[in-house]
Amino acid sequence: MISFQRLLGREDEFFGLLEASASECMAVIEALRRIVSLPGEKASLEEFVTARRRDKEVTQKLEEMLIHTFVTPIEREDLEQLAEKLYKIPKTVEKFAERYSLVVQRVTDVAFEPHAAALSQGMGLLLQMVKALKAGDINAVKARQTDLRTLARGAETSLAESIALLYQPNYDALKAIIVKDLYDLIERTLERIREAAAVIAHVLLKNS
Amino acid sequence: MFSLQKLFGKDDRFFDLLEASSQEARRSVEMLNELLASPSKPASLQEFHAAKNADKKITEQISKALLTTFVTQLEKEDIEVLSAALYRIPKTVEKFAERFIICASLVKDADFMKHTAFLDQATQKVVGMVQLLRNLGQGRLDQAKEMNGQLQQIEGDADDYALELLGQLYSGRYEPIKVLALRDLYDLLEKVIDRCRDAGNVITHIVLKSS
Repeated sequence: MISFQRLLGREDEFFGLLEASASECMAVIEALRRIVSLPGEKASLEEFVTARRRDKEVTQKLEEMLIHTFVTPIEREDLEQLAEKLYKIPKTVEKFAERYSLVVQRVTDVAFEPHAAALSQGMGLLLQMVKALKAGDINAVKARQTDLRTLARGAETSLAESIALLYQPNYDALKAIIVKDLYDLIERTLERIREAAAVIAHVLLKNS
Repeated sequence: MFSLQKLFGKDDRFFDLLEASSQEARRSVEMLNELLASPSKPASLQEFHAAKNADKKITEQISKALLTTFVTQLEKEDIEVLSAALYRIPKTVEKFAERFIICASLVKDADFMKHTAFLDQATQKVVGMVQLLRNLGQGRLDQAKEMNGQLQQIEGDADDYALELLGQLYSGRYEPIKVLALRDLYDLLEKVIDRCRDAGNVITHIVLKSS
């Protein structure tokens, strides 16, 4: 029997996959918070690798669905772009975790926790935006995007203050390079979150 | 003369151009591997510029041809995306060569042999995968998935190796200025392999769509 739902779109499945991807991002950021809250302790990378792989599977499933589905709830290019942006979040966090685990003993006195907390808050807002996308609630999306912008500005200022400490004359040069690399990855993760949020806002605006 | 072949897209020139672009990418990596194999030899950026420019010309030809062709065997957007992905390979290689030449005296004792092998394998896979596009049909998807899997494996192994090298750089064994120079170079080599992976993903996506 011909299923019109199948022919005309699998809305719930698409949005479900996007939410699953955003939830994996959240899980990986929480894992990041845990490892930086225990300075000096060698972290296991397993949960980062697993979460990133799970996210990749979700992204691939979504890509395959896009190819085989006749009508999509939002434009397929937008869905593709959002899935790609979401996937980049755990990838960047995993990179941070890999590098952090290499130097954990060298950076025991560096406070990464506030930066990780900001990422967690930002990701929480993004997750809400993904849910609001399904509901088509543009007001909620716009409000969360504004919150995210405010949060990101604060997080960037805090990162800049932390980076300024590295440029002090007596700071160990190698340590400055290492810590700066880690701060850069935190900043990049924040950018990825903002980029995904921008795609959601753009999509809803287009369809409003 | 009115050409039905042209109208209905049985024209092979897009395949020729995409294959030529992948060959240029491979050529730029071969030059890079020569440079890395003998770092003390005086190096010139000219040949890297030439390789990148040759690829740029091909990319422009593809863009132009897309505007004047009515129907193409592959979707126009896919051709454009793949062409851009391929062009990024020699572009990143050129960037690496520029940096390598600038800091040659600092990194002359660094061993890039493993990188060379990864780059060689990755570009070979890209060239092979582009050739798959010419005859899309039964069995191609399995082939594309298998080759893409191998490309992902190469990228994963290169990432692991990059992390291992980073661990050495962060160990305190080297002067900070050398750490800075080598870290930037390793990052760029990682990016070249990432670009190959991106091209592989685009090709797999195209094959999947046509399956």
